[in-house]
Amino acid sequence: MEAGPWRRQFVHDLLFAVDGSGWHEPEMKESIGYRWSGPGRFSVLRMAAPLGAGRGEARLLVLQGEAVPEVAVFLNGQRLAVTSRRQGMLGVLDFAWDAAAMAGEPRAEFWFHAERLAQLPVPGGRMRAVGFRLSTLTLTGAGGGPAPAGEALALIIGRRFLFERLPVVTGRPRIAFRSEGDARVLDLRLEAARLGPTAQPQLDLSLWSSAGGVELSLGAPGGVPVLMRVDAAGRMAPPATLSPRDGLLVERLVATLPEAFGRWLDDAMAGASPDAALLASWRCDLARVTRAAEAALAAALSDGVDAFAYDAAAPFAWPASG
Amino acid sequence: MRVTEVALATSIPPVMRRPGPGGVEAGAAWRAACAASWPAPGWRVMTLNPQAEQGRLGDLPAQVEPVTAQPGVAETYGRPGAWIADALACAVATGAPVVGLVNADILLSLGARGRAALIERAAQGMVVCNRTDVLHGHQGEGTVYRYGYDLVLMPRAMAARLDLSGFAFGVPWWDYWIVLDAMLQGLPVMAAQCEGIRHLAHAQAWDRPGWRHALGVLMRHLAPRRAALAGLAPGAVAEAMADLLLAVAPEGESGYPIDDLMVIAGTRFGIEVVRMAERDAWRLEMT
Repeated sequence: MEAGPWRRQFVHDLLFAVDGSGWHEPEMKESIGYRWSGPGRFSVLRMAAPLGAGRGEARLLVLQGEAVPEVAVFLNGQRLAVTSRRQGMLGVLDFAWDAAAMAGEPRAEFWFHAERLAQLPVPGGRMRAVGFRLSTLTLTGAGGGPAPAGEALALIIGRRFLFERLPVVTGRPRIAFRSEGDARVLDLRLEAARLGPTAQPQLDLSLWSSAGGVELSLGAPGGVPVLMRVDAAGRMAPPATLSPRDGLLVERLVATLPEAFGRWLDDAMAGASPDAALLASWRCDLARVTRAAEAALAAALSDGVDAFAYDAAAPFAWPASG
Repeated sequence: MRVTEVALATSIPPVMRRPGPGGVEAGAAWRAACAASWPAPGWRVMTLNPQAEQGRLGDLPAQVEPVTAQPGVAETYGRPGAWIADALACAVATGAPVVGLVNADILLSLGARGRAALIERAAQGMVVCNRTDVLHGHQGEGTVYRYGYDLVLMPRAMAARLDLSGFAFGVPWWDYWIVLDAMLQGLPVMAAQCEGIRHLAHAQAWDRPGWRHALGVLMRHLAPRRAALAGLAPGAVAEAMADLLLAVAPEGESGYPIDDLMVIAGTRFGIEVVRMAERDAWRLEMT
């Protein structure tokens, strides 16, 4: 449909449940609903978003005598340029993004990093750390939105295929950051994960990010790890030391890393004052890894061995030692 | 002769008071500017006023047709005015393919392209527009007020299917019910924001008894269609709010803490209606 001057919008009202973390309970003042950010500086909000480039408007409740708070805004790990304005009791943060920021992302993951925290009492006398009052987040697509997608049957069948024949579970993520020479390193431990039919009580995944790309090492404790690499052009070769089916499962697991990273953020960032730039760079790297893994998976499923020939019930097998 | 594409109904009050910059009274000028902003080629505008107001409307643009409103609003809400159903029926009676309602303090700063875009969408379904609040008439950027719809446009055939009896201009809830009524009938509704639908910000003008009464009207409309509300999948909280309000609002129950409950449940229910409308949310660009 020709959109003309119409642009699709997505609105999240903070009075309702939040997919994310770093927000206090909803409140209402002067008919404006909002949530305080906090208790840490770092708050996450995920929501549906228009495809491609767009712009957003975060509306903050700002009382008389208060200045519009300084808040850094990130979309899928990319820092966005923010301009702020004041309109009565509202502070409005305006920002925009290009198509690359949403490429391959099923939802928009916004991070808000408050410059300052304050200690304010809540009813009952308890003190709590708060940053800013977010009322609504409105996202507007740069275009009119896509035409209705066809081939719904193929999508449904494809989803069922992935769910039934290549199931993966990332489990509970724990993350640590370090550096090795010029490379930034992310150590990710996944507890209670699953690759196909095989439970993986613990998986250890390390990523080394440098100018040349991202190196990955995935394995179970005591086993031989699987090594992979995303080159500077964003390509990833299938894991050479695994069977074709198990290689697909590993690619599926790697493709879910941003989602696991998001869950870790929700758990780990409560009350924290993290290095937002470091988190942002890793979020972008994980998105790059995901795109590479999905591309490798798509290539294998379309042009590789008949994907239905694999025995979905066969246990996952790590490379043999020696 | 140009065919009427849109018939727009409103109820212009004889006097409008609005705060301007520096405390200057800006109501009269804003009222005149609003009335002048509605007519356009293909747009027919009418203002419904009770008999007693007819001689007090002052100078209005020649393209704004005065219509005598049906009585009863003052007796019901304690302030003179026009019934929403009366206004919509007048718009439908023009035969225009698109009909609508606009609050009298809304200024349409829309060019031909913006109006055409509105007509194009409103010919397919209901378009409910938020207002953009400004602090003075010449302010460029404003802020959208999401919790209400001040301009509503729709196909004439859709309007004929709606039941807005009991609601009046200047009293809350009609804009929420018009959305719900359409959605409960499975009719398409889209929520729209546009910088060109402007409103001079002012303190709340409605009173609590009128708010409560109109909420009771809404609940009386909703009661026989409660099952259809569940079909819209509004969520457990929305349904619980509706059930609470259905129990206390239609009959005007009183006693501790009914009034407070109605305010809280009604506010939340209204926000739920906004959320339902925003399932299909759009922005009309001005450039």
